[in-house]
Amino acid sequence: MQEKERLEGYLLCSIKGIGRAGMKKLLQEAGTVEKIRDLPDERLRKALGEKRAECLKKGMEEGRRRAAKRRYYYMKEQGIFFLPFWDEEYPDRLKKIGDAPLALYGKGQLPDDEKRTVAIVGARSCSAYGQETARYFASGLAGEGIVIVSGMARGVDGIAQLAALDAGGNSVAVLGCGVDICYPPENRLLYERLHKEGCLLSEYPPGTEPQARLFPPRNRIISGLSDLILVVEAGEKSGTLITVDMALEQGRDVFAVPGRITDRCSRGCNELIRNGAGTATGIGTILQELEIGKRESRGKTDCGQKTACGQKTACGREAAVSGTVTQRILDALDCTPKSLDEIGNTIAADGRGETPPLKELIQELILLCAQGRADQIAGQYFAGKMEQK
Amino acid sequence: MAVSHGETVTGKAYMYCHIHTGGLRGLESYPAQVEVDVSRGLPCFDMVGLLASEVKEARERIRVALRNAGITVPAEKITVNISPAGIHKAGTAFDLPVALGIMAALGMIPQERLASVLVAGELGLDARVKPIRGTLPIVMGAVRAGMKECLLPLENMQEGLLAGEIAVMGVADLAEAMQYLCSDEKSRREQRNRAAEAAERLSAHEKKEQKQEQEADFSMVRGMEEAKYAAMAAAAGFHNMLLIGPPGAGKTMLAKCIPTILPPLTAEEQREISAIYSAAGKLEQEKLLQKRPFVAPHHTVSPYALAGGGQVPRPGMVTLAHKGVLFLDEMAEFKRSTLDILRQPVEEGKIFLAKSGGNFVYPADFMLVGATNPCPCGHYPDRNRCRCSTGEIHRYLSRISGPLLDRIDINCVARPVPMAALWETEQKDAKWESAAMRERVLAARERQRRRYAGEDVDLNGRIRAGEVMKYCRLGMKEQQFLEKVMETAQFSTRACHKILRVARTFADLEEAEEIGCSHLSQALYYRQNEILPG
Repeated sequence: MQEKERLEGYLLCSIKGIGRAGMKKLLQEAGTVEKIRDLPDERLRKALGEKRAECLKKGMEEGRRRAAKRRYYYMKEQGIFFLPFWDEEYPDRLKKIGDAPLALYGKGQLPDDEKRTVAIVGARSCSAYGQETARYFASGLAGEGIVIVSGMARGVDGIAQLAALDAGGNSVAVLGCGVDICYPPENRLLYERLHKEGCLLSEYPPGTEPQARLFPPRNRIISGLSDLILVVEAGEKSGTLITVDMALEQGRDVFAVPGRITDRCSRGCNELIRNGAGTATGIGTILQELEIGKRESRGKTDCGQKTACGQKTACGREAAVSGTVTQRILDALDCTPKSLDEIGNTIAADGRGETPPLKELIQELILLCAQGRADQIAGQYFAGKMEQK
Repeated sequence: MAVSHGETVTGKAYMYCHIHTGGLRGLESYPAQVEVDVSRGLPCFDMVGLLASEVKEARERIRVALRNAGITVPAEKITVNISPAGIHKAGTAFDLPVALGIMAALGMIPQERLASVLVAGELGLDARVKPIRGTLPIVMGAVRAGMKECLLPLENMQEGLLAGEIAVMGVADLAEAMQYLCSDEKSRREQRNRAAEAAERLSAHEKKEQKQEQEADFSMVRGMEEAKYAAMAAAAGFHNMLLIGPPGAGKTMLAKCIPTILPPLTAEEQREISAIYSAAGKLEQEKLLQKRPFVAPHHTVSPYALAGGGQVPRPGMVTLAHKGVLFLDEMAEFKRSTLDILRQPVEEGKIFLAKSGGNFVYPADFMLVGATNPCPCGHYPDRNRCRCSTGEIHRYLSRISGPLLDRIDINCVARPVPMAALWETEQKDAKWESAAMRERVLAARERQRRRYAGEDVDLNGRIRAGEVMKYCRLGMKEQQFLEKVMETAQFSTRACHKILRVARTFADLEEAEEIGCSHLSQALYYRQNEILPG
């Protein structure tokens, strides 16, 4: 689309009172965007009605036009692009949803429409399990070329997007504020990286401050841009469930990561599964759903985690004979943080020999952390990682 | 030491004399002289020498006391100066030396007898000698000034004897004091012995029933072996320590047990600490403090109470914790500005106080033990009970000043013991009793003493940044291990030094000459790592 057309489109979209419906009618009447300003009054009134036609005329006045032009070029200087809904680059998937945004403002690079996309959403105060599964799914799917869409919020959103970028993949964030504002501030680094390596989008004009009421509507864009929604962790009354509702309205598939029934953070997900959402036990599930390649042939079980009875999957890094201390520790760890006592008790009960002395366990655990195969968190708790390839 | 003679109205000779005494300024005593001059002139009694009100009031007390002791003071011009005249004098300990000085100036006490005697005490109107504050530092000051005897109130005699190295006499009234000063050497010794017995009887009579406080002992703390081990390491190397855990886990109890595993005070330390407490007016029983101080300010403590306050500052809690433990319970509830006061003592072992009375440097070399919840509700990382948001957790913990956290070497999670363990009455492990733990601490201290003999550092926890590499050398294997860890975790140099110091202590505890990977792992296990989620 030509620059002039875009500018004209921007001006029109900035006029209060003209929404998608109005624009549609105008385009019908005029044919192209540029011709709209040449439309005679009666046709405008016929298309929009008395009041809105007035608004339009006022909005097209010279003063307003100049101001819009200034704003538009300022936006371009900032690296912000503008995509009205009739633009051919406007995402296909969004064009099809019920109340698609009038226009999108963005930074970075929009991914091709052909690429598969998965939205990863979840609780802001997630548990260590939620963090690890978000990271696992995001990096695994991004590694297969899938674009990860989310809201760049604290918790699951941010972790998933960061993991996707770290895995060399692509990610799109839809913000609840102007695309030039980084909210929440803690995700500043992620924001910068998305600008460089991914894409930031918003339906709100640049400069819009984040307000609570602006966030729910952006969730429809998140689900609207994706082929499938993956819910990692959600409490019983979580805001994430709003996104799920919108996804269902749009006819998208919803998958949820199950959790322990005793875990508060997994209640929402488990409930979703009970009510018919898909159960995401590993990347394989999602890839299968999106019909991307057969995972079984690569010898990978659906759950990347080693099972407790020591069965090895193809993803062991160093040759580990079942029975070595390292192996027993890895088997005793899971995504929920465990204390040294708990790990020791689990090892004592695994029947593979004497419990090694605590000092040896500590040394092994520290080494595993150094190798990136475990995490030391919150002081003296340890959590394992979900290993992939 | 009288000198000039002249004629007064009554025909007696002019007299001038001076008596040695000591003034208390802050924690230390400075030598002072009470100079008395009786001369011709309109009858009056003047006291000079930059005196505080209570010292000036001594005039009235002395006048009446002398009269009540049966001593007639002739109507002459009496001038008293307490030198050095430029130091502000406070306290009531000058009463007795001034009264005796006047008596000496009137010829009632031979001048030679006053040589090398330090006198201090308060006078009542009935000529009885009353006790003073800060006896121990004053007597220690007398020793420094080369005095041979001290003349003190009877109630303070036992405290004065604690200083050792000097003859101490306690008197109950002015008459006794005069008699002592007029006696000869042999008689003085006998009088001192009698007075010692009298003082003994006096304190026994007055001593309140001291409730034998049940001493804390690690065997009373159930479970928490990791924390106990960490406490042992902290005590062995004198490292600062932080306990993190939910409310009711036993952090306070554990902290209270720490002084029981610290090595006993040396005689010198006992004197030093007792002098501090005496100057603060807190030396209740007339014996040297033998237990390590354990000071636990409430989190609403004022900065002055913590650091020391007043024109001439009384020692604050950091000084009262010298050579002992300063325990900050609910560390996140302290005001940031209050915690900031601790930075200098923790870094340097002393505190500089600039007050209107002058600049003072007080000792403040303590072991810092902190306790805190991991988040406002206390249950993080148990997400089933903890509903705190990431922001809340972050804000809660960042209330503990970062620079202070940086100087804490050992961080330990205190987990509450499951109910079943509470009912066990048998102690499974004798090695977790205070006595056994202290043995190990002492052994580790001995190794440190040998290693640092002749150096200017004496404990692992006090090694400075520049010297860490010198005292905590690593073998090839250990270096590689540490490098591997540092790659993933991205330590700062300061964090690295902390790990090495603590590893050195763990090695000492296990009686190992060299630091091994196991010791490094333990130090890393107890390090300050991301307490916050992702």
